[in-house]
Amino acid sequence: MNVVNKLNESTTIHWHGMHLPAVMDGGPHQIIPPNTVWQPYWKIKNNAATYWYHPHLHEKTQEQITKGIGGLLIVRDEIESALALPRTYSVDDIPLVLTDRDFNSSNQFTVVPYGDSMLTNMTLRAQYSLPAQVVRFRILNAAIERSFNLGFSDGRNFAVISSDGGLLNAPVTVTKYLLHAGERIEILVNLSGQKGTSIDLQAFNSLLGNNIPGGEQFTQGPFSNFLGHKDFNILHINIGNQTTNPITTIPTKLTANELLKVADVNITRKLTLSDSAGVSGILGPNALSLTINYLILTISSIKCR
Amino acid sequence: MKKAVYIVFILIQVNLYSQYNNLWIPDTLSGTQFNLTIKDTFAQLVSKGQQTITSGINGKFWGPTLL
Repeated sequence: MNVVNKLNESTTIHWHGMHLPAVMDGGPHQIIPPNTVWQPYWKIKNNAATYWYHPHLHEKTQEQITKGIGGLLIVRDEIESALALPRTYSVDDIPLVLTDRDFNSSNQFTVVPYGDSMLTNMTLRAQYSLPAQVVRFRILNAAIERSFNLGFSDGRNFAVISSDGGLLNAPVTVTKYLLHAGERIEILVNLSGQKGTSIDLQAFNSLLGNNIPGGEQFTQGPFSNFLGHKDFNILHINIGNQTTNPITTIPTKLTANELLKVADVNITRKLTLSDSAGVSGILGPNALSLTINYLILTISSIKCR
Repeated sequence: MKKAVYIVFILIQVNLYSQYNNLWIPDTLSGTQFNLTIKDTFAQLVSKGQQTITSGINGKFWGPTLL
């Protein structure tokens, strides 16, 4: 990677989800000063899936992400490539980066936890034409706080095929999927035989409780926003012609993940993570507030349950 | 009359609001070496009025999809 920082301030670029050495990670400690180049390198060890990269500078991450810095990483491997899945980028394999932003009266971003406007791939009120066949979406929640309770306007089924870390063993059929900030999924939806019609991919956030980001109804203060606890459109889909070699069925098996066995666990520790909307200082393991340079656990080669 | 003009005005507003924009899809870069340049720029994100000050990687906002 040749990462050139032409901003007037420092930044970092973190490779979110990538399995790599700590010195290549791009966390808050790996500052790229203005007008310098950072050249991390690593061997891809990840499973095929959708990952992303974004700034991670201490106390500047929210502002720099709000302004639009970020990108997707798509890893492919032999297992994924051997499956009959849609994989023609922008035709039947569509990246969707979900964010919400607040614009002031001069159309400029304001740096707030929740925006009033949905942006899909930085597009307001987005629409796209898709072929009448099985289509894949690679969906990233790149919002600052908001979760998206994803589903289609007609309540149709869709199949989740991949999570943050790679393919699931088999597709999981759902009608809703709650995607939290930073999380990625890949889904398949069958548009076969529906040429000339349209559907909407939506966030059904009115179904969320106020313990879920985006389910709250803040009417004032820094967290107040237009989209809270509401349903809204993410993508209007116009269904058009099939492509020449369409995928028309959803595979029944995808991969064989090797999971850690509970029986192999030799140390058990209990960590409780909690959050309270908008209240700082009580997010953290074992209800301790997170402080910089505070080491809670040192884990050497143990297996975690 | 004044009321009718006002209703027409509201209908136009609703129509403007419901207009869709074509989804932007990030470019791709593939291979084993990637050049990413982060810079401040601006983009017409809102259909009317001023452009928005943004930061992007190799473009106006967001960045390329790396394969």
